[in-house]
Amino acid sequence: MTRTVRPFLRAVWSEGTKLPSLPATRRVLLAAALLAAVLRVRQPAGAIAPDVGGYVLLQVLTAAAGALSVTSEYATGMMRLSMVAVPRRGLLLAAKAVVCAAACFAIGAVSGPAGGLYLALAGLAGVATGFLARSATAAWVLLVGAAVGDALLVRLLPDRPARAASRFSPTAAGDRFLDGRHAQSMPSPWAGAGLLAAVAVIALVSAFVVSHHREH
Amino acid sequence: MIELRHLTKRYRTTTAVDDLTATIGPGVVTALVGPHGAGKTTLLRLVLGLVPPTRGTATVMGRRYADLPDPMRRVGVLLDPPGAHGGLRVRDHLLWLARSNGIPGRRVAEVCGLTGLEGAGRRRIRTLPPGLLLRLGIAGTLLGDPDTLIIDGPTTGFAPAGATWAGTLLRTLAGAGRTVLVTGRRIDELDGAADRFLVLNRGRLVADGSADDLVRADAAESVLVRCDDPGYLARRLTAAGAGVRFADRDALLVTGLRGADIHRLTVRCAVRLHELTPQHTTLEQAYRDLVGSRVAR
Repeated sequence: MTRTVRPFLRAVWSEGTKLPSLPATRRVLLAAALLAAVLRVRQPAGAIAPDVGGYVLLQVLTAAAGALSVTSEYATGMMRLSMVAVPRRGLLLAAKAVVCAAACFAIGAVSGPAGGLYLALAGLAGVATGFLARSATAAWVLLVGAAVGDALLVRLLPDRPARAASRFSPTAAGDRFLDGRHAQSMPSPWAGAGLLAAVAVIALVSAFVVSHHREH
Repeated sequence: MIELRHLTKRYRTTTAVDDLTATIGPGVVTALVGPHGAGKTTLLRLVLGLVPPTRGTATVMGRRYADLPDPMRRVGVLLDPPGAHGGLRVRDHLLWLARSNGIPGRRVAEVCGLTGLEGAGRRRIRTLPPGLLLRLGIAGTLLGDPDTLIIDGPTTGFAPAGATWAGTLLRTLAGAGRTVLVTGRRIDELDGAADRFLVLNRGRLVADGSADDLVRADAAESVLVRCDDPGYLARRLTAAGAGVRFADRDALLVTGLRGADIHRLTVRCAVRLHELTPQHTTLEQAYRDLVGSRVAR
């Protein structure tokens, strides 16, 4: 147990040192925190649901921070040094994911736990995309594509399959989750959260598999 | 102690490292030299588990690098490129490295003192001159006070003063019983800094020994001959199977025959000898002969 737990905690501490020190991630996270504060102030008194529109922008920022925490390492050869310091790639990826998710959760939590969870999942998807894409540009295309792409794809489908597909659209699920409203014929907000979490987990697992077999 | 056993790395079209077996022991500085593309960096990446081998094993202190607990407390590694993000401050770079392996934060100040980086802790890495970058790289390797140091190309692209400083430091570390492995493209830069040379060419180990061993084993060791009738002697030497070329108008450079044999021949064909001097090749020349014309400048 200690053979994994202690190295993991050390890796977490190390990643927690990098995240605010690296200029790219620090700036994007600061911008996200600022936006979250503004959204919180604008939130009507008594409302538990955060502003969905603002959260789409916040989600993009936190996912970008997650991706940048990985791609800025690949861009400078730092990733190789990270893998020399923490040779178990699963531990390195998990530590990055945990640190990024925690930072994103803290930013979203100013408007309630739902917001925190939502942004943490976006951050995790960002980390996974960073490992898969390795370049900031490619990660950006993938993330934005995923954020708007499923809605566009649904629109291309004929009517009946489109309705079925939209039940499983992560973007729509995220909206419902933030909104907290339970529309009939649609899965519940928490099922939506589960769907988002499943997407993040699938992305992280594929990132682990890919980076495990990749040569550095 | 680094042990390589039949270590092989094949890519689709090339063999980067070809059936390499060697033991790199403590107490001396071992230099891994070879021209560009010889497989030095691949070899180090195999040792560090950054790329998996096609065949064979590489172990550090009896274990695969990836299986070492807190590897930086056992092995100090300087990569090429060093992997120091330009936007980080010197202190933060060393701090994340230290924390990843449970090394106490005060070691950061200590290694800065050891490497002459005092006062540079707040500077961003991209503002450092090459000399200080080298010092930062070495500082990172010393964080965990490791028994083994693996250093990829510290002398490439650095000022001679920095190379001398690094060479002296590595010798001191090896002298204290550590295992030190350094790579380089130019052997002359490591002459004096390294005790043992592993010469790599096209993924194969083509020589292993001290600078003296390499010079002595150089097949192209030649003898300078001055005599009355060099043209005639040259024909006789060629007939005897030696390699002959004119060094200048009346001097020959003879390879493939030893001085005594050349002297015997001059006596036999009654050529008056003025000079017979074995030409000691330099380490650089021996290296060139080993790796062919592919020596990087």
